[in-house]
Amino acid sequence: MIGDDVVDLDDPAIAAHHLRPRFLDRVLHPSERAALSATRSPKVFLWSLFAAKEATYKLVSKLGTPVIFAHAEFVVDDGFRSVRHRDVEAVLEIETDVARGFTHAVARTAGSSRYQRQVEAIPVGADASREARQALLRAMAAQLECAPSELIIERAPKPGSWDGFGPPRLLRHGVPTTVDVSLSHDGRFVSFAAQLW
Amino acid sequence: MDQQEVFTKVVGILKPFVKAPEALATVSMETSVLKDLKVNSARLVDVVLEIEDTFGIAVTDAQADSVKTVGDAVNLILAAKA
Ligand SMILES: CC(C)(COP(=O)(O)OP(=O)(O)OC[C@H]1O[C@@H](n2cnc3c(N)ncnc32)[C@H](O)[C@@H]1OP(=O)(O)O)[C@@H](O)C(=O)NCCC(=O)NCCS
Repeated sequence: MIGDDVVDLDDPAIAAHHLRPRFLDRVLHPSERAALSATRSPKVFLWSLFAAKEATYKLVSKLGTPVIFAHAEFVVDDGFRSVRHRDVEAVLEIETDVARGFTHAVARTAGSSRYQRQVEAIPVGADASREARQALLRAMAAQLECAPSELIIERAPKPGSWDGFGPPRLLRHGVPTTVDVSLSHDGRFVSFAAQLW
Repeated sequence: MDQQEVFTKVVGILKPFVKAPEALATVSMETSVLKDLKVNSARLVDVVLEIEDTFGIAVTDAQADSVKTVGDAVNLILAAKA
């Protein structure tokens, strides 16, 4: 299973959260707070932690057991290599590009090595949800050596979830594939991650 | 504080975090915070903190997670203040 999350680091709305103790208390584990206070780039550090937690939430929510999104219970290790949530440990890989202005986290279950990830900038005013799907479809068509028109991404109805739908799935000729996918969008960026096998 | 007063205050709290401002024109108790107003997950934490400050209540992660609509938030606040 895989989950991903992108954060637009230049969004003015998140410029000062690393200075807000109540926000930090709410979303961080004490070990993460200690690490944050020792870093020279607290803003990038905070949002990389946040992206890691969101990516892992998306992964864990696909494992079957209902999960409450309590950010502080998703604990990122010191070196940004893994995230633990109760008895689940996810392998973490963070890509941060300060020049382009994003941080992107991918969380995967151990044992899965073949995966693809991507972050794309989108035009102002574009439909981010659609752009993220298009980027994923193009990449998966290349990967599976088929036409993009053979593939669709759907979110099946899931009563009780935040918007009534479950996580995204990749279908080929209307049949679910074994590729596990994740989508994210924030500000100027869209992203995806796909676990191929 | 009655339901209408809490509703008005909750909408005021949500306003700066809403990515679909046009949805505010028809906001009701049934409006979905994430789906209709498109408040993202990080902003949701800000909303929870604002609600705690404004109404002088504590909102647990489980309670926050159960809020899907504006009405859910209003009812949560009314129950905490009762
Ligand atoms: C899933 C969730 C983490 C999305 O986070 P976000 O930062 O707002 O949005 P992102 O752009 O990163 O991700 C959105 C994408 O995730 C995917 N997604 C939605 N639900 C998902 C789930 N349960 N598992 C995996 N992926 C999911 C969708 O493809 C969605 O994009 P789309 O709506 O365009 O199809 C979030 O909205 C959620 O479920 N929150 C639960 C409630 C909560 O946040 N509680 C905290 C209270 S303080």
